[in-house]
Amino acid sequence: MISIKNLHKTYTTKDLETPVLRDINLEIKEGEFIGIMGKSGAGKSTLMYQIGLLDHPTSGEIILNNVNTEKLDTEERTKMRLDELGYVFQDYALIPELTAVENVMIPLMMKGIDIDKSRTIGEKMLKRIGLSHRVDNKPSQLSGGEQQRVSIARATAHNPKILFADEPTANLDTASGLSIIELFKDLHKEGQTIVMVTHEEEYAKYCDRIVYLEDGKIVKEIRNKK
Amino acid sequence: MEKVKGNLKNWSKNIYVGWFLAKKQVKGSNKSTTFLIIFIMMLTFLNLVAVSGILVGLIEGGSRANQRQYTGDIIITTLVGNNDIEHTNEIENTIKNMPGVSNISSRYIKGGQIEANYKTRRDFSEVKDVAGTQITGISPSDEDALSGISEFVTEGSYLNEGESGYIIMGKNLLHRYSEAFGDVFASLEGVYPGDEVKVTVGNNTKTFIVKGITDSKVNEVSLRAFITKEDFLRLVDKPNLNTSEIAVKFKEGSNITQESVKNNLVNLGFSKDGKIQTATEAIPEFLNQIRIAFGLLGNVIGFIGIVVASITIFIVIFINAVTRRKYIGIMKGIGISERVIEISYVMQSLFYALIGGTLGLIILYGLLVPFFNAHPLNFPFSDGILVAPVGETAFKFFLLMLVTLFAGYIPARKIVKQNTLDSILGR
Repeated sequence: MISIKNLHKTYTTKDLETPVLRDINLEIKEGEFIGIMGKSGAGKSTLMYQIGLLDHPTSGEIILNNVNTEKLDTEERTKMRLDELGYVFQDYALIPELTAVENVMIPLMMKGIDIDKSRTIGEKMLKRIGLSHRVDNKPSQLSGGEQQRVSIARATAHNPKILFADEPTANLDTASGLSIIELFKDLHKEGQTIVMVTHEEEYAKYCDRIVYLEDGKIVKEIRNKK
Repeated sequence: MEKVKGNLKNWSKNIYVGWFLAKKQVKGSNKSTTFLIIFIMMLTFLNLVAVSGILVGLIEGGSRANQRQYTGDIIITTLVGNNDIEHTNEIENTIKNMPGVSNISSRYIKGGQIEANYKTRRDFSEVKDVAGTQITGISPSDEDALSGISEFVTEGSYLNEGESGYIIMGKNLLHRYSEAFGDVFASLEGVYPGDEVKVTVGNNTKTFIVKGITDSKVNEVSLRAFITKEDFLRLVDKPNLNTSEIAVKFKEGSNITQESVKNNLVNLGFSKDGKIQTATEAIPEFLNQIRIAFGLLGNVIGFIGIVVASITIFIVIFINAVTRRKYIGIMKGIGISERVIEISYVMQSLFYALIGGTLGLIILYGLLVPFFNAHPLNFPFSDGILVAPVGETAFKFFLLMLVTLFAGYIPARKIVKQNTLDSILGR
């Protein structure tokens, strides 16, 4: 499903070149729940941004469903993000002036689904994650855990092939964090491919496979026993 | 064909989602800021139409007064080198029988002198108190029906039909009114209704009692002296009854046009007898020149207004987009196309301009135009009104929309174009 070959990412400023990812090679299969772990600054999020087409690598290839993503133009990359990828960010990244359901509706509307149907799907998604009573609340009226749930609903409403999660529990208390991980577990059971960046070992145990990064390199891969 | 259909569908979807986002963003924005932006747009629109409208209106007021008080809808004057309009009677009868014509006034005009204060002039070596003017012989009722001249008699009273020995004098023939003009023309000292003046045309002199003083900003009303036709014919040696001016007024709501009546008269061959002009053509050339200059000035001021409006919208949208850069990045990240985000900002700016412009239109046609019509600006040569023709106003309204569209698009494009990840991470 995802094939990463010889991926390098270097941030260049005027006088300084900082390599962040070095020669990353990774295969992610359909339906896999991958955890990316490592210390702060190891390059976990950077790797996710490259795979999730939010950034361009300095060199190397990312093949996503047999498409070399580096050969896509901006518009094609945006379309691929809309059609095939879903994102859950550490800080939820909800649009503040939209209600919970509207946040979920936006990618659906963008896919050409009419507003009523988008709302129906949005409400269904929120019901599924236990937020049917928060449908018309704005993000500022929701707790952190609730916001992250809305974010997951938004990321999965359009049935993406791959769900990317960047430290989805980092800003949450233990109970909320666990409930989010449970949600990922359920999604994974349904066959959702998930790539999750985390630094919390207790949540990583839910993954099929954990990839450890250190100084921008994959240093270890562990497959969890089911 | 399929590709075109697909593109159209894509565009309509983009516009729909853009509109949805714009609506939510405007709804979620600070109310007082929104009100302020709309207020600025309203003032900009008014600046665009009202300033030039008032400048043009100063001249338009003069032109309208000229038409109402002097020329009527059509005016026939003597051809160069002629003393009278030939076949006056025939022309008058033809015009009277034209459908849509309400009144005509035929005026006899001859240059003459008016002398005042001759009874109190003890020293005959002193200069006479004399003013040169155009002595105008009118039918008081015809002239009043055409120009409403009696309304402008501010001292004394207007002439009655058939009376003799009375004169109405334009205010600018009197020194007390024309002081402001300096020594541009000679004027008479201390003449009031009831005073006696000598009127001389050629070798003939007659005394008249001043019956009234006319006060108007139209020179032909305030610089002439009016006597009855009968008195004029007694005073002036005329070999015929041809007059010097025929002013024609149409009925209110009549569907005939100035051009059609003029063409009619020209086709009947009357252009050989007199100079036939529409009211518009008869506007004094200096007024036309000022109209062009003021129009140009109004457009320059309007252009500056448009530039200010576009900069305002640019700044508003730019600040809005910069402060929302993170969310723009997130939207791009989750697959919302750049085009949709740009459309949402363009729609926001159009919203401000549309509401501001519409409020401006309401104020313009609901308040300012009626106000200036009822209370014209008092200028020395005209009563200034606010001219805002619907077509021109509509053009300026759409111009404001167009400029706003670009002013909203450019900053939005600038921010949307930034790297998605940098926007999300606030780098």
